[in-house]
Amino acid sequence: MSEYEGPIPIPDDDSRDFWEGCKRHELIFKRCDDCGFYIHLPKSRCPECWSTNVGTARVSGKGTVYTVTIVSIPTAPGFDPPYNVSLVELDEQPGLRVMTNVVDCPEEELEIGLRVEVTFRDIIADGKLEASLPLFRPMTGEGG
Amino acid sequence: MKLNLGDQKNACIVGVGRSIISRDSGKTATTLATDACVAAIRDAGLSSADIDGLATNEMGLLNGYQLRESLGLSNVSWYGQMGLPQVTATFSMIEAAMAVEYGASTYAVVVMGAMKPRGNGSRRDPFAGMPRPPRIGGEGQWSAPFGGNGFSFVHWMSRYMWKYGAPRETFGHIALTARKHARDNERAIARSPLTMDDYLNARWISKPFCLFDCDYPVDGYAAVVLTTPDRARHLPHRPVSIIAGSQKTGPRTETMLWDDMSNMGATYCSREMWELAGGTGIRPEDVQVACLYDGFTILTVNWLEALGFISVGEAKDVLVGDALQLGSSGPGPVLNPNGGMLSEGRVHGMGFVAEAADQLMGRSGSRQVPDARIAVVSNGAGVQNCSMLLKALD
Repeated sequence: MSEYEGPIPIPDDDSRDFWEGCKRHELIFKRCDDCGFYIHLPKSRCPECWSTNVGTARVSGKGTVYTVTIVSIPTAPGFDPPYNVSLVELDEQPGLRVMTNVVDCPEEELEIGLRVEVTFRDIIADGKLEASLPLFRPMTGEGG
Repeated sequence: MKLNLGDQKNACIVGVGRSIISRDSGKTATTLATDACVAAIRDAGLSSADIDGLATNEMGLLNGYQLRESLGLSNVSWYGQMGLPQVTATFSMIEAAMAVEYGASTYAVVVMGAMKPRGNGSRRDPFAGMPRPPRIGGEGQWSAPFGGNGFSFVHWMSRYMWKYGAPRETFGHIALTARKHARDNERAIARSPLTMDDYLNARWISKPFCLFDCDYPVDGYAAVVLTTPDRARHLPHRPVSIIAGSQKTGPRTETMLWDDMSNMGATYCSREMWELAGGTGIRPEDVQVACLYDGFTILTVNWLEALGFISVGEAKDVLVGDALQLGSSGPGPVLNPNGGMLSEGRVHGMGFVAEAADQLMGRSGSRQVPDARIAVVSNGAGVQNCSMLLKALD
């Protein structure tokens, strides 16, 4: 995999748990301790029940490609077209989706409904782990 | 939402004006918007002193104070300066109509349009001028690190095609219809013939979007004048009554997390618009002119289905041959008789308002829809959606 030269996320007080989890290669979402709703994009109060008892929960990292596009013109630094931008819906909750790139998958096999699992791409600058991006690859073995 | 108050009270469009539409005007947004406003006010048979209401929109790069200076309006008492989440031209129309109906304004000008993106912030280099690598916070942290870009609606098209088995030709029909209609519009930026082969062989932008699925960036503005029906009857043109309008944001404001991405906010907005129009007895089959947002072809397909012109998921069976084109003997309204933003150019929704008004005033020349009495205008997509129902008064 070539050196990543794209945008680096700046965590905020709502998203820090997510990005810190990624650095440990764990996919972590905010989750309501009262009703169990996964809250993404992360917020500090549960939009379903208005509880402020919001914690975090690690998910399996297994999911399904919800939509996909193959970008064919340059629109972002560090991304040489063609490349895919996909939305993956996690198994834990309907509508729990992340934007991502599906890797290790030829374009003709990348379609809606493909079973995928998370894999992480470390961004290292000056010897320091800046961030780690949650990407997805076709699932192998059980659950595929 | 704007309620139907009946023909005696609903605000009316009484004048229409446009700037030049061009790829590179060499003029500022304020200049072009001023040109459109002057044309609309003169068209209504009015002058500067008559105008006491002004509605503009941040997405049109316009500022109400600058426009007032530029137009020399000295009598403004009502401003509608829309921003997120009210970024559509139709939303500005609904706000201005309510201001007129309430008596906050006697004659209001609504102006909106767009400038072709240049330099920083354009789709091709959204991070121009930032240190590399760029560091992105806010909403961008969830998309930029994955090469996400401005083409978010392409995901809706992928999902729609997958769910309903729609072929690319369904979307090609929207592009071909726009281009066919643009041939009779001397203002349109793209008037050369377009075939389905041209469409199917066009270069990819962001698959499944090809070049002809995307609207045409231009510099262009349009404006209309609104007033009450009693005043409208003393002015030169047939009044166009604004019956009802809706902006309904749906279940989520985060587009990527929409409940069902094979459809969009049009579903909720259209349902409310027809409910508000219920007292009139007007139904989708009574509409002759449909000016439906076509920033991308998928959005027009969504609007056609949401508004009830086509059953949901059946666009692939209906959008064939000369369906929805001027001169067609088939059912349904004429779609985007000005060529839409795909071919007239991206006047960002206000071009549709101007076209619908001209059609209902009966002065659209060679592209006039016969016996046009009822029109629907829709703008936007996802959470930023808005639609309104228009009627020519007798």
